[in-house]
Amino acid sequence: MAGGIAHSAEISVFHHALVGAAEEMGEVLKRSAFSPNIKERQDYSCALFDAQGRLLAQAAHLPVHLGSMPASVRAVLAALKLHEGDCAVVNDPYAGGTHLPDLTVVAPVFASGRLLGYTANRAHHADIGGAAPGSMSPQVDLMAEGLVIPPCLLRTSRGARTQAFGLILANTRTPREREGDLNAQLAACDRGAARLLQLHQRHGTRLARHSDALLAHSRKLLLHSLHKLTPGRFRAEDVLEDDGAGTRDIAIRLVLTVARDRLVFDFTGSHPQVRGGVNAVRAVTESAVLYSVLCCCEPLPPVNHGCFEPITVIAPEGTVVNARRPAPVAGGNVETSQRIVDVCLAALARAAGRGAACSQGTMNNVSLGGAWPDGRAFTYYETIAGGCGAGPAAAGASATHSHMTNTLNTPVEALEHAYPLRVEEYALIEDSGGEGAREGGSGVTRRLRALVPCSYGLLTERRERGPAGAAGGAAGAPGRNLLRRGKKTQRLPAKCQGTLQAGECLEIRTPGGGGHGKRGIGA
Amino acid sequence: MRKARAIAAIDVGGTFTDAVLLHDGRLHACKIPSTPDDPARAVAQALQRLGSAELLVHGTTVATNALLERKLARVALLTTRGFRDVPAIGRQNRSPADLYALVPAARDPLLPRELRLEVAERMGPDGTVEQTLSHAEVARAVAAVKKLHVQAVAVCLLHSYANPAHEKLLGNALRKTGLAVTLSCELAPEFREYERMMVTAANAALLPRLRDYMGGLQQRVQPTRVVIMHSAGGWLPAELAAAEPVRLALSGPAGGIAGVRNALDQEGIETGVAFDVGGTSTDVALVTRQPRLRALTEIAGLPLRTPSLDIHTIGAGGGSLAWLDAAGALQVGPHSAGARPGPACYGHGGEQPTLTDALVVLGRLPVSLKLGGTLALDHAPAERAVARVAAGREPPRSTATAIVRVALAGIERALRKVSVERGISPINLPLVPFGGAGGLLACELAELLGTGTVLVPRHPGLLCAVGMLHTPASRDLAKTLLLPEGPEALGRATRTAKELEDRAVAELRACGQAGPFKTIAGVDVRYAGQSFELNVPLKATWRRLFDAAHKREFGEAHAGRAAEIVNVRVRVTVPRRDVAVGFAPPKGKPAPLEHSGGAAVYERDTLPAGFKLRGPAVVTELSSCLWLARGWTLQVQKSGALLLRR
Repeated sequence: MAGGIAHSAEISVFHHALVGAAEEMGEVLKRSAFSPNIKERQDYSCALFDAQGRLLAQAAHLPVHLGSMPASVRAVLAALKLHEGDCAVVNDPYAGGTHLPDLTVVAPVFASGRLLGYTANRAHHADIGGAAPGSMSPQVDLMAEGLVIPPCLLRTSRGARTQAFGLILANTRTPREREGDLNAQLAACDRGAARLLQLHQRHGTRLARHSDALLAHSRKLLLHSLHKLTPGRFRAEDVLEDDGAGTRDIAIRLVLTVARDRLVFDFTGSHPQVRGGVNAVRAVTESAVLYSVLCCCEPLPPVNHGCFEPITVIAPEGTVVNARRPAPVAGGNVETSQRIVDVCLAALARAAGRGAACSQGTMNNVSLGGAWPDGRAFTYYETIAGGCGAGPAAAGASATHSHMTNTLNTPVEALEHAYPLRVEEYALIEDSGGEGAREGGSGVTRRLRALVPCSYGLLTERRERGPAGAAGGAAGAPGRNLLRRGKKTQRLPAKCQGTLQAGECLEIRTPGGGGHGKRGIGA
Repeated sequence: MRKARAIAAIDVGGTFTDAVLLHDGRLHACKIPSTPDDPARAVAQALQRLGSAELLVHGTTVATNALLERKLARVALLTTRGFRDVPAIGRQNRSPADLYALVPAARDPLLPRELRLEVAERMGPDGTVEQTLSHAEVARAVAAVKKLHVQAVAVCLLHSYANPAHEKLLGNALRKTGLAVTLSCELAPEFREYERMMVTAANAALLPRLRDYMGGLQQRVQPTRVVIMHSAGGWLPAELAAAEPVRLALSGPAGGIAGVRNALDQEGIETGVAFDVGGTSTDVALVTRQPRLRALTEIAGLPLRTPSLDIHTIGAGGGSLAWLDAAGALQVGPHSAGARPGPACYGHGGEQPTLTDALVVLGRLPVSLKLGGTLALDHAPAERAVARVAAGREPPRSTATAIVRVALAGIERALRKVSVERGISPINLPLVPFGGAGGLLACELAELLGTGTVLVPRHPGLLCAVGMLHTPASRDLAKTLLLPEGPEALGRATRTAKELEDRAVAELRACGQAGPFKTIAGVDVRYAGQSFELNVPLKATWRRLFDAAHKREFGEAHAGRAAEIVNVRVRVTVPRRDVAVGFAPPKGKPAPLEHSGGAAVYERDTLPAGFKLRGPAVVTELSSCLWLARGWTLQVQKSGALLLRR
């Protein structure tokens, strides 16, 4: 036990201090943000980095943000020289971003002129321009998805807003809301900086040594779990059903190599990038890989740079898991990331000798927009939960968001108050979970009736084949998108745009989770 | 034989039942073991020991435990067609603890699908009837409920806060059959259907048990009148409490906050941080002049939309286990030794090291101390257990110090997060420790938070009960309006407030409260498009008050943006005449009882007002213990409270 009990305590004390600082940033962001997307759905993350740009601690509510912020910090540092008080912003998927609505703010922290580290946070903005309100509808062109922001200064060291700030506000449908949210992101960075300075005062030059110990501890905990895996090569493959622009069965292929102190995720052979917006950039793929590895860890290591060290991701450029500019990417974050997780978990299950069935594997993104009778415009975006896959010890949860997302729903009573829409049904779909010794969770029906003419956009998956079962369990039922006009019902594609007349209904039926184990064979 | 004007307060906890009786300004106290199989037995015993009282203010865990253990009545839920699965869908997220779980835990809908029934009816968000509830449909629903053989029924229809007519139709028909019924429009007429449905169902599921409990208790303590402490920091007559048992989930802890408030008042301090370290958890709360209430509380994994004091619970306490993780970091919690066997120092056969054992090793809990006056501490098992953490390679004292450091770091992190969440800085606010172990960690926690003051109230181990003596009757009601800003908003909100006030007063009168009644009315306001409300006083200037509150809480106001009144809240209280608790300071010069871990140990009851003490020192009393760290001084106040400064 190197360093003795005092050292053992120091790791925990320092961990609490750093994660606490990241959590505090999150609370500041949540409190000072304006939009429900940040305040209520909690679509944001905050993180602290050391002077070398290594992730020290992260407070993430959504795994999809996990581990993709180091790329933002790297991109900002490559493009800009940051001075004390500067804050940079980036959303360019090809230079540190993921998809356009996610804006990441990065700021350096100095103590008496010496660089201590960086604070960063990411928040999903409800509109960042582009062809459709909400910037999340299927497009075949990155430019149509919204405003692309390469790393640039948002605030200068003198505390003044830059011209880029104004440029961003001029390119969104909701500038005042964006302004409030961006200010909240700046305030969160400032809070993180203050806490890091406080730690510097408390720990002085030992800060760097404590950081190293913390990263080493996470790495060790991760390896502790990896050592339970069988060494070797494990293959897995799955497909995205379509890109909404004509390409079908978009394969994601993985060879996982489990070595003694290393995991290599090789996606060579995955489908080339596609015309529709389901391309993932490398940072999204890395997030999905890290999330999958953490799911197999017991105990869960604190998330920091130490967790990345034993993991190598090989993702050939120009494929759907590492797209090249200017491929559109809105769905890469929300849909492709889920499929990458399915593939990673399948390979890890083989290495571990046990695993869970597939969960719904989609976020069921629904965007609606139109105008109230008095002319006021409205836009509404939601994601809908579905069934989770069952595991070796438990049935799958019903109506629950899985893997890369965990956002809350909008209550029916809040939705009907705020939009000219009615929810006619919000219910579990019986028997939609895959059969098995342990059943998959049920999917959900959500039927929305338009009271005024609306345009809609859908970005969904698993509409043809349901999420696979495991260990002999059956697949869950696939989802369905339906348009109801009076007595007539029309099936809609998984990814599409269209219009609803007043009185017409959009019915989204989400997939059930896969079952685990052969039915009739006990737990 | 009725003694005039004696008031008793009894708080039932998991291990001990704490009782105090105030008579002619003198406080009598006792602590006896709880009787979990029949909690009222210990209450009656304690009251008998203290003498008779006119009024008994009672803090109970019956509702909380029933929720925790899911020992609930068989209940049916009636809701709008298309929405019976709302309890199973919840807010569609998994618990944050399950973010990286391969198989996240399934949500508990509280009642199975076959007990959730739908009725054909629909209200619009503004209360317009979009589908009428027919008499035939009511009859069909009642017949369907009867077939289920349930003990109670919960009714929660969409938008019933905007128009309760359909819920009331169903309620009348169901009540005629003799079933116990909870209507969401009566219990919690606030929007957001999942939370309202769950609080309505939980209330119905508690009704039979709480009715039995209250009835039985009242019988046992005749002629003393029983009133019940509720989560919002007031008491309710037993009849009202029995009809809305879900309001009792934080019954005991609310007494603690009242006790802290009273201690702060006596020293003329406006705001403090309450800090209660229990066996498995630690409660913290910001205590301001007006009670800080929140509209939604999570108990036992259930969201309960019922006004509660804003108390935050951290999952670490005296019983939290210390261990080295697979990569050699020292962890304290989240697992706990529980009440049995408890920490190793209890001598009940516990072998795993806990925070309490570390405190014993460090001499902060002198072995001469008897917890609750009865439970003796054992040093040797504590030392063995603590030594085991580092496999015997380190002196137990070093390991004990390390355990306390890690526990404090966890508590500091949680406390800072809560403070930021609530927009306050804990710096410079006095820390007010109570409960069994709050005083053992208070000095160091204060240092970590940058606070230089700790105030230890009298009777910290009985503070929940003491606080109940100082609590007024209060009825807290709310209703959702969702009114856009405009010329009619103030008038409608004021009318609603009046309706709520009239209802509260009538209910209190019906239970024998004569008044005078005091009403505080407020509105929850937000900017249109937000999903987050702030409570401000209901006045003509509500809009400006809201902008100011928004700026204060979130750093920015949006004066040009439209606002809306979401809810109206009314609190009707019956102010209490002041109940002064005298402090008869002891005479003579106190002497240390002994030395423990290099520190002098004093008995608190021997310390006269004005007495000063320098750390390190230990001060013990019935069921509580204080560690005065090095660098701190203590002074006994005129009130009997201890003021610690650095």
